Amino acid sequence: MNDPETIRALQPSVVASTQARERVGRRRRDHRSRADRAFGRSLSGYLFLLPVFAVYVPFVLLPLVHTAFLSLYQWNGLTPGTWAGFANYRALWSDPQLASAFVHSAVLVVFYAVLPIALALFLVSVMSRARIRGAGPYRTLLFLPQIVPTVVVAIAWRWIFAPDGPLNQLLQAIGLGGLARAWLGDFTFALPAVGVIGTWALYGLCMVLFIAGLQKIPQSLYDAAQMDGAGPFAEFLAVTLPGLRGELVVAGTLTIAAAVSSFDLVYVATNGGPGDATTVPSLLVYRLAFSDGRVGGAAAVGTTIAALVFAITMVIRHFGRSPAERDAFA
Amino acid sequence: MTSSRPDRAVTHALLLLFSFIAVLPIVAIVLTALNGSHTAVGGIELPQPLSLHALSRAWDTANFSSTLVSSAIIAIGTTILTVTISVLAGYAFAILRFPGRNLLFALVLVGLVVPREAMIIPLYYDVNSYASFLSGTYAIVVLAETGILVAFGVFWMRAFFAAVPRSLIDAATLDGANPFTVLRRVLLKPAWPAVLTLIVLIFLWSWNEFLLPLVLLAGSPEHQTAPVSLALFTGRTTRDVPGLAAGSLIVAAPVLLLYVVFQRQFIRGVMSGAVKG
Repeated sequence: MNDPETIRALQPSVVASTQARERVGRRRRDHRSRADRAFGRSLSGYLFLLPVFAVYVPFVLLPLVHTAFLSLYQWNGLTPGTWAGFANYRALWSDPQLASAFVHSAVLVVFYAVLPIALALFLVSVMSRARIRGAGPYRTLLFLPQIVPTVVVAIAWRWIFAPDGPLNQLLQAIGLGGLARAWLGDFTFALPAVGVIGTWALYGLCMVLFIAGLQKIPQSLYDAAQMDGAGPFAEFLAVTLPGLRGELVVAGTLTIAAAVSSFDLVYVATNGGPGDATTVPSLLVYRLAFSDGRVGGAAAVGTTIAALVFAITMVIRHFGRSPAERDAFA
Repeated sequence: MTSSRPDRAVTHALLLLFSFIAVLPIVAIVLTALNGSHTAVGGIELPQPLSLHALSRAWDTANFSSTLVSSAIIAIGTTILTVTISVLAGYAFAILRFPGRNLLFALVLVGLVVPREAMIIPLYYDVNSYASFLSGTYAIVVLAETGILVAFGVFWMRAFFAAVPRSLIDAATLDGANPFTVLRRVLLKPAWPAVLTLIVLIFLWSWNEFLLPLVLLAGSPEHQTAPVSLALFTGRTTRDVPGLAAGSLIVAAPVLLLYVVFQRQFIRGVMSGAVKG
C-alpha cells in the first residue's frame, strides 16, 4: 500500500511538486540556466508590484466593481437588498431631483472647464506676441488656488458672496446696489455663483499650463506666419492652438473631472441649496447613501459619474492626439 | 518677431491683474483672521488692531489641537506608504520584464480616473461588515487614500525610471546585483528629485482630501481631519467670520508653508497631467 507506485497514482500533485523540486535542484547544479534567471526576474517583477496591488485591488478596484453591482439593487443599507435591474438608472431620467443634478453638473462644466480654458487661451495668445520673460512669480501666485484646501476656498467665497459681503459692498459703492443679493441663497444665481468659484479656482492652472506650452513653440513658426501675412487671429489658429494641443488635453481632463465630481466645494459652499438649486451628482451619492438609505440609487449615480469621467477622458485623449497619431491608431 | 515695449507692458499688466485676482480671496481670509474686531468684516482692509484673538478662539472651538494631529498622522502615513510602494512598482513597470506587464500597468492607470464617489459606498459598508476592526481608524483612511493616489505615484515613478539610461542598469546587473539591489544602490540617488516631488504632492493631496475622511471617520470624530472638522464647524457657525477665517488659516497653513518651500515641485507635478480628486 505504501509503495511509491500507489502514492504516485493517488497523489499526482505531490509527484508533480517532487519532480519540480528535482528539476530546480538540477538547475541549481547547472549554475542557473538562462531560462531560470528569466523566471527569477519575472517573479521579482510581480514581487515589486505586490504591495501596490495589495492596496489598490481591495480599496479601489473591488469597491468600484461592487458599486456597479449595488446599483442593480434596492438596498437601504441595513436589511437585505432586493434585485432592481436597471430601475435605479431609469430613475436618473425620471426622478426630477436626480436628473436636475446632472443638468447642474453640465452647467458647472461650462464654468469649470470652458470658461477657464477660454479665458486662459485668450490671455496667453495676447501675451504670445511678447514672449514672456520672468513669469516665475506670476506662476507661483496663479497656482495658489490649487494648493489651498477646498474647504478654505469655499469659506472665503461664502464670505465674498454673503449679503453684507465684499461683492455686495462693491456693487453698492459703484451705484449698482440694486443688484446686491444673497448670491449663494438665490435660486437663480446660486449655481452660477458656485460656477464662478470653480472658474476662479481653475483659470490659474490653465494659464500656467499654457504659458509653459507656449515657451515650447518655436519662434520660427510665428515668424513664418507673419511672413505669410497672418493676422493675430489666423496666427492663433495656425500656430498657438496646435502648439498647445498637449496642454489642452491636460487642462480639459483636469477641469472636466473637477466639474463632474466637485463634492467638497458644493458641500461646504451651499450643501446643494437653496432647495436643490446647486445639488450635483456627487452630493447625491453622499446624501442618498449615507442619510436617505437609498444605497442602490446612490450607487447608480456613482457608477454614472465614473462612466462619464472615463468616457470624457477617453474622448479628450483621442482628439488630443495629433492627426498622424490618430490615423496610426485607427 | 521682436516684441515691442507696449506688447510687453500689456503682458505684464495682464499677468499682474490675474495673479492678483487669484490670490485676493486667500489674502482676504488671512487678513480677516488677524483682525481684532469681533464683528464680520465687510471689505478687504488691514487688520486694526492686529490680533491673534480669532485664531485662539477658533483653535479652541473647532478642537484643532486634536484634528491637526489626526490630519498629520493620516497625511504622513499616506505619503510614506504611497511613495514607497509607488517607487517599487514604478521601477518594476519601467525596468523589469515579465508577462502581463502592460496589462497590469493599464489596470493601475484606471485609478487615475476613478472618482471617489464610485468607491466610497462599498468602502463604508463593507469595512463595517467584513473588517469592522478597521472602521473609524486612521488605518482605513490611509489605505483608501493610498489606493486612490497610488495610480499617480506609479505613473510618475515609472516615467522617471523609464528615462534612466539603460547602460546604468545593465552595468549593475552584469555585476550580479539583483533587481532590488540595483534599485537601492544605483537608482535611488538619481531618483531623489522625482521622489521628493511625489512626497510633496501626495502629502498635499492627502491633507486636502475631503470625501474619504468625511465618510470613513463619520463615526469617530476624535480621529477626524482638520479640513473636514472645519467644514462641519462651518455648518454650525456662519456669523463668526473672523473665527471661520482663522480656522481656514490654521487648516491651510501647513500646505501654504510647504508651498513656499516646494512650489517648483508642486507645479511640475500637477502639470504633468495628474488628476486631482
